[in-house]
Amino acid sequence: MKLVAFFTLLLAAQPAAADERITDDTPYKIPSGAFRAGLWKLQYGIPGVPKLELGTYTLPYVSFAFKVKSFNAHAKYQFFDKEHWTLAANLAVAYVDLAGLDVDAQIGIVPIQLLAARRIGKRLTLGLGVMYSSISGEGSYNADEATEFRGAVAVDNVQTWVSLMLQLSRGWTLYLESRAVSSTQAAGRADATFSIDDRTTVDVTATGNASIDELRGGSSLLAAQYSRQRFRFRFGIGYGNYNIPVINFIVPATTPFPELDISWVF
Amino acid sequence: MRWSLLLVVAACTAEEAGTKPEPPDMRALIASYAAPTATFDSQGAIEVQQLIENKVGALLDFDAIVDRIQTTILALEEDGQSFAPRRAIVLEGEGVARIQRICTGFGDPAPPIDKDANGFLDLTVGYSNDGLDSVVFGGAIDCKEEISGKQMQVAGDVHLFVGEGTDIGDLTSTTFLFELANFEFDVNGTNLISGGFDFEVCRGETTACVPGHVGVLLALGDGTTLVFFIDLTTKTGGFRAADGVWTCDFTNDVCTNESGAVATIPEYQL
Repeated sequence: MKLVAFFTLLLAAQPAAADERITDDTPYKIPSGAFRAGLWKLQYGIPGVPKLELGTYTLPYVSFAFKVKSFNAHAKYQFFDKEHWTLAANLAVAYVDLAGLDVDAQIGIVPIQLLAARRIGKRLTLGLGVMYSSISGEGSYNADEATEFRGAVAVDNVQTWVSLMLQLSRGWTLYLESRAVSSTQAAGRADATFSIDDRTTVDVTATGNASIDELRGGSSLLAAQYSRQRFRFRFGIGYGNYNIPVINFIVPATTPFPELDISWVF
Repeated sequence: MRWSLLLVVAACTAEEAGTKPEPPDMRALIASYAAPTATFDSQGAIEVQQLIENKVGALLDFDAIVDRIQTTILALEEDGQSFAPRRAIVLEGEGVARIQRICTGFGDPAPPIDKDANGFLDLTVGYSNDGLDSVVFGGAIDCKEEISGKQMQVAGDVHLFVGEGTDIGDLTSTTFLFELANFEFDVNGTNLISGGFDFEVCRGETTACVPGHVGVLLALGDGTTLVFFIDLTTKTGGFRAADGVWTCDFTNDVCTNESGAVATIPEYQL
C-alpha cells in the first residue's frame, strides 16, 4: 500500500516528458548530458559526443559482496536519425573473475547490437534488432595433488528481435517484442593432467565444436512504460526463453517472466 | 590487458577446436597384413626360414615390451578395482590423450624413478565420440626395462593400429598391429631389432589373424607376402597366404591348409 502511494506521488509530482521513447533494446538513447539511474542500469549521454551513450548494469556489482569481481559497460552510438529512421550500434563488455572464491576462472562477454527503428505514423514505431554475443572463459582447477584441470571455452549466439512501440497517450507507451535466438555455437578446449601412479602421467586435451540446441529459443514480451519528465516506469510480462541481461544467453526452459524497471533521467 | 588476453584465448580456442595431431598413415601395412599376396608352398617356407627365426626370436623378448606398452595405454582406463581408487579419465567429445610412463631402469630391486636416467614411453591416443582413433603413436625414449632378469633397452617410434572405433575398455581384446620405425631393441646388450619392424598381436574375432598368436609379415623375393603366425608359449601356428590359412606342425615340419593339402617346411628354430 505504501509502495502504491509512493508511486502515485512520484507520478503526480512530475510534469510531462519531452521524450518518452523507450531506450532499452532500441536505437533511441537518453539525451546528451542526461544521466539515467534505475533499478538495473546507470547511463550517461555524453555531452561532447551527442550521439553517444555510455552505461553499466548495476546488479552485477552485487557480486563484490561475494568476493567475485565483475565489471560491465556498454556504449550505444546513434549513427543515423532522420525522418522515419533511427539506427544505432551498441557494444558491451562484461568481465567476471572468480579468484576471490579461490576459483581460478575468468569469464568475458562481448555483445554487439545493431538497432533500428522505423516510425510509422505519429504513434507507432517498428523496431528491429540483431545481436551477436560472445562469451569466453578460461580457468584451472586442482582437484587434488594428482589431478589438474585447465580449460577455455567460447560460446556465441545470435539473437534477433522485432518490436512494436505504440504511444497510447501522453506518458504511456505500449511495447511488444518478439525475440529469437537463432544459433548458439560452442567451441572449447580443456586440458587435464592426471598422475596415474609414480611413473605414469596422462595429459588429456579435449577439443570440440558444438551447436547447442538447448540454447536456441524465443520469447515474447508485452510491456508498458509510463514516462514523466524524469521518471520511467516499465512493467509487463513475457513468455518463453528468458534472455539473461549482460550475458545475453537464454534460459533453456520456457517460462513466464516478469518485466520491471524503474528509472530516473536527470 | 586481461581482456586482451581473454579475447586472444577465445580466438585461439575457436581456431584450435577440432584439430588433433595427425597420426602416421598405416593403411598400406594394415592392408598387407589383412591380405597376404603369396601362395604358400614348400619353396616359400624355405625362403622365409631365416626371416621367421630372426623375427620370432626378437618377438620372444619383445613380448614383454608389448605388455609395457599396453599397460601404458590402459592408464586411460578407469580401474575401479585397484586398492587406491584412481580418478576416472573420461574421454568424451573429441580430443587427444598423451600418456607418459617412466621406465623401470636396470636392477633388482628397481632403481629410484628417474625419467632422465631410465627413459620413458610416450604415446598419443586420439579419441572422438566414436571411440579411440585407430592409430596410437609415439615412441620409446631410451627406455630401460629389466624383465625376468633380462635388461632390455628400447628406443624409436611406435605406431600402433588398434582397430576402428575401439573403445578403451575393449583394448585388451583387440588385435594390435605394431609398426616400429627407427627402432633399436637390445636385450642384455645384444641388438635384436634395428630399424623397422612390424608384427601383429592377434586377439578378438574382428581380423583375419588367429587369436592368441602373434603374426609377422614376410616378403618373398618376388615381392609377394605371407603372414607367419605363432603362439609364443605353445610354439604352434602357421601361415596366412593368398590361398588361405595353413596350420603347421613344427615338430613334424608339415603344414596343412583348410582343404587338406600338405606342404613340407624346414625345421624352424623357434
